[in-house]
Amino acid sequence: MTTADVAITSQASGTRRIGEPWVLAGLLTAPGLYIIIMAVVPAFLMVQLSLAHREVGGLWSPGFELTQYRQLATPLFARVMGFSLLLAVAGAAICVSLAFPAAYFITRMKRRAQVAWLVFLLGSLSLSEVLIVFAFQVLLSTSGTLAGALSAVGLLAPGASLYPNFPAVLSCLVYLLLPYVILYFYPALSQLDPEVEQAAATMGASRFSTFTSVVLPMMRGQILTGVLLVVIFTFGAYLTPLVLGRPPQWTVAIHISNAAMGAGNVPLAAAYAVAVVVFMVALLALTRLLSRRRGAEA
Amino acid sequence: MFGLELRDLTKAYGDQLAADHVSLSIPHGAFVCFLGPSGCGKTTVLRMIAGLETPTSGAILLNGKDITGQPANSRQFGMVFQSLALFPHLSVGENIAFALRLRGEDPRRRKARVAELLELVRLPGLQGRAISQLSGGQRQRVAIARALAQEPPVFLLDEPFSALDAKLREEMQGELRALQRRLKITTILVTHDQREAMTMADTIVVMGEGRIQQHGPPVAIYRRPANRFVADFIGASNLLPVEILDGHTVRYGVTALRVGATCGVGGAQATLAIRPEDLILTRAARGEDNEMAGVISLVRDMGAYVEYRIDCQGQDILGVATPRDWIGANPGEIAHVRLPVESCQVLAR
Amino acid sequence: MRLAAGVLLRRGFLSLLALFLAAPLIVVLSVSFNATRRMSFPPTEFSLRWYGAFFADHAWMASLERSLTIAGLAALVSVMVALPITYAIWRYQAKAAVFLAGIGAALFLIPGVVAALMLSAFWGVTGHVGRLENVVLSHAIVLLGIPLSLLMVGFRTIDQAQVEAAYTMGARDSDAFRMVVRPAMTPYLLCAFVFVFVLSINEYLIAYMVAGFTVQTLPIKIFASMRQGYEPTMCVAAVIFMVMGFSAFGLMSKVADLPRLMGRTRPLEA
Repeated sequence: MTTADVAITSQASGTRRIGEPWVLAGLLTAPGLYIIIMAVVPAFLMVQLSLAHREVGGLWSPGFELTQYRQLATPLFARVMGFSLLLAVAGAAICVSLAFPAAYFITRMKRRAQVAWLVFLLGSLSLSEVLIVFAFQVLLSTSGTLAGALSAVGLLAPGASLYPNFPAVLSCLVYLLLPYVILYFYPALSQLDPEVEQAAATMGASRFSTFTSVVLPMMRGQILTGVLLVVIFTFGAYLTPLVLGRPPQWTVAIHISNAAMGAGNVPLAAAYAVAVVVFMVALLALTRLLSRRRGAEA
Repeated sequence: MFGLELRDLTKAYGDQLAADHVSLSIPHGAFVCFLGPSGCGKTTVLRMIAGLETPTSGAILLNGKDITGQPANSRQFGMVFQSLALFPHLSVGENIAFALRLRGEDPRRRKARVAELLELVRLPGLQGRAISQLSGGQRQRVAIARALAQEPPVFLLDEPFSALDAKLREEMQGELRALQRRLKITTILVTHDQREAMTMADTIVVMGEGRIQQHGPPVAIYRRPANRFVADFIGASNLLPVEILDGHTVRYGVTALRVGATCGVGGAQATLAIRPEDLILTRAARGEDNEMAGVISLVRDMGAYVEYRIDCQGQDILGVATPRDWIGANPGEIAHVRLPVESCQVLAR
Repeated sequence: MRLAAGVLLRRGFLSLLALFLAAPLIVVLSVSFNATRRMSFPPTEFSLRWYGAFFADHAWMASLERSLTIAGLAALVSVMVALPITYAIWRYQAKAAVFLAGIGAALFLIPGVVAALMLSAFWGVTGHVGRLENVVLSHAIVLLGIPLSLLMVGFRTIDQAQVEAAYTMGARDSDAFRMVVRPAMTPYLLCAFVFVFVLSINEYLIAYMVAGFTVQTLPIKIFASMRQGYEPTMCVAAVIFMVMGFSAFGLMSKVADLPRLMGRTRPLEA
C-alpha cells in the first residue's frame, strides 16, 4: 500500500458519521467532566490561591495580591531554586549517562533476558520513595553494611554515619530515577535499526565508535528530552532530601510542602508551585528552541 | 436487473475526488477485477460497495434494489481484506463461524458449516488451530472461507494476494478462480497486478484518477486500449507522438505510417500505441509499409524471449522477439523495424 | 581479544547496575528476617518473628487494607476513564479526546508536590476533606497518563480492518466492540490496572497532603514510624511492597508482551 492509499483509508475510518456525535458524547462526557473537575479546576484554583490573602491559622480569603510572589524575590527562594536545579542537573547527568548505555544493552538482549530486566526495572520503579529512602537509611546508617565495611577498611571513622549529606541525597535520587530513564530510552533504542549499525561496521567502525558516532547522534533529541524529564522529576523530589539531606539540601518541593502543611501558609505554597511550573515550562521551551536551532544547523 | 449496479458513484475527500462518477453493471455470477495503480480509487469503490464508506453521491443497486443507505453490517457482502484482518484471539473455526454466531445459528449447524467451508478451501480438520500457527497461504484460505460463510450475495477481495510470494500467489489465484466458478458467486477483486487481473477476471475495469478508464474482457483491454492511460498501464506499450495526416495515415518524424483508423482531424497531434511483441525486426529493409530504419541501442536475452530497443528518429522503441525470430543483432548495428498496420492504434494525446 | 574485552566491560557494567538497584532491597529483605530488635546487617539470627508481629498488629493491617482499597479503586477509576478516551481517539480520531488525553499526560509530568498541592487545595475548597475517596480520585487523575498510554499502545495493535471485517459479517458497533476489540484489549486493560495499582499503593506525597491525617496509608504509616525511630516491622511492610510490585510485573510479563507494552514495535526473536 502506498502512502496515498494509507491516507485514504485512514481518512475513511473517520467517515462513518451516522450518529457519531452522540456516540462521542456518550463516550466522553463522564471522563471529560472528571478530568476538568479534577485537573483543570484545581490548576486554576492553585493560581487563584497564589494571589489570595493569607489569614491566620492556615486559612485564606479570596483576593488579588502579589504578597506571596514578592516573597519569592528573596535570596532564600533563589538559593532554594538554585540548589534544586543543581541537584536536578547533577542527577540528570548521572542518570542519563548510566541509563542510555544500559537501555542500549538491554534492547539488544534476547527476549527472555529483556523481559527479566523489564520486570526488574518496573518492580524497582514502582517501589515507594518512602521505602527506598528507608532502605538507603538502613544501608547508610552507622550500623549498616556500607558504613561497617568502610570503617573496617579504615575509610570511615567507627560510628560515623554516611548521611545526611549531599552524596547520599544524590545517590538515592539516581536510584529512584534510573529505572524511569532506562525505560524512557527503551522504545527509541529498540526501534533503532540494527542494519544502521551493521552498515557502520562494514565501513570499518568499531563497536565503540559506532556507538559514539552513529547511535548517540541519532538519539540526540531523545537524550535531551531524557535530561529534561529527570530535571522535572527531581524538582518534585521530596522525601529523599528531607530524610537523607540537611536543611541546606532541601529542595523546593520540601519548602512547598512545609509552607502548606507546616506553616499553614497555603497561598505561599501555591505561589511557590506556580513559580516552579512556570520555571519548568520555560525550561521546556528553551530546550525546544535549542534543539530546533541545532536541527536547523545540521 | 439481476446483479450489482453502480450509478455515478462519487466519493470526495475535501476537494479531492477518490471516485469520480463510477458507473458499472456487474451481472450475477461475474468475476470482475478493478485494476489500476495505487491511489486510483479502486479500493474506495470496493469499500463503498461493501458499505464501509458512504458515497458522496451516486447509488448502488443490488438486484434492482437501492442499497446505498445500507450499512456494511446489513449488506453482509463477504470481504477479504488486504491485511486479511483475521481475529488473532479466535481459532480458525471460530473465525469462520463469526458471522454465523452473530446470526445466532445453533452450534451444531455452525460446526457442520465450518467443516464444509474448510473442505471447500482445502484445509480440512484445521478448525482448532490458532491463526498464529498458520502459514501465509493457509491464512489466505481461512480469510476466504470466513468471508464465504455467510453466503454473501457479493464477494469482495481487496488485494488479497499481495503479501504472498509469486508461486503461492499463482496457486491461490487458480484456486480462487475455480472456487468462484463452482459457487457462481458475483465476485469483485481489487488489484494493481495486471497479470492477476488478466488470468482471473471475466471483466477487467481499469481505473485511473478516480474514473473508469475502460472495462471489458481482458484480451480486448490488452489488444484495444481505449486511451493512452490504459495502453501505458496495461502491459508494455510503445507510445509514439504522431501527427494525423488523414483517416488512415499518421506521420511519425519523417515517416508516414498507415494505421487501421485515426481519430481526430488532419494536423492534430495524437499518440500511436504498439505492443513490443507486434514489432517485426529485420536486418535489411524489405520495402514494405510502415518500415523504419534505426540503430539497435540495447539487447537483452531473457532466455524465453529477446528484448531489444531500437532508436528510430530520436526515440527508443521497445521490441520483443522469440528466440527463433531473433536476428542476432548487436547494439550499434542498424536494423529495420516494421509496425504492422493492424497492430497500430491511434489514441488521443 | 578486543571483542572479549568489550563483552566483559558490558557484563561488568550491567552487573554493577543490577547490584546497585538490588542492594537496598537485599538489605531490607535480610534485615526483616533478623531476630534482634536492633537493626543490624548482616543479620545475626534468622527469624520470622517480625512477620508475625506485623500481621498481628491492627494498625499495620488497617493501613495495608486501606492502601489496597485505595489502589484497587484508583486503578479501576483511571482505567475506566482512560478506556473511552483512547477508544474515541482510535476509532473516531476525536479531537476532544485527544485534548483530554493531553491534559492527562501533562498532569503526569508535573512534579508530585505541585499536583499534591493542587488537589489538597481542591478538596479543601469542596469542604470534603480527609476522606478515603479523595485519595482514590486524586491518585486516579494523577496516574491517568499510564492507562492512557498503555491502552493507546493496545488499540494500535488492533487492525482497523478487523473491525470492518466484523461489520461486513453483520456485526453492529456493540458486537464489534464485544467480539473483536475487547478480547484484544484485555491484556492491556489488565496491565494498565496493575500498573496504576502498584504506583498508587506506593504513592506517599499526594496521599499525605490530600488526606494524610485521617487516612493513613501504608507508605504514610511507614514514614511516620521512620520518624519515630527504627522498628523491625517497618522492614516487613517494605518487603510486602517489594513482593507485591515484583510479582505484579512478573505476572504481567506472563499475560502480555512486556517489551511491546514498554514501546518496542520491532519484532524480537526468542
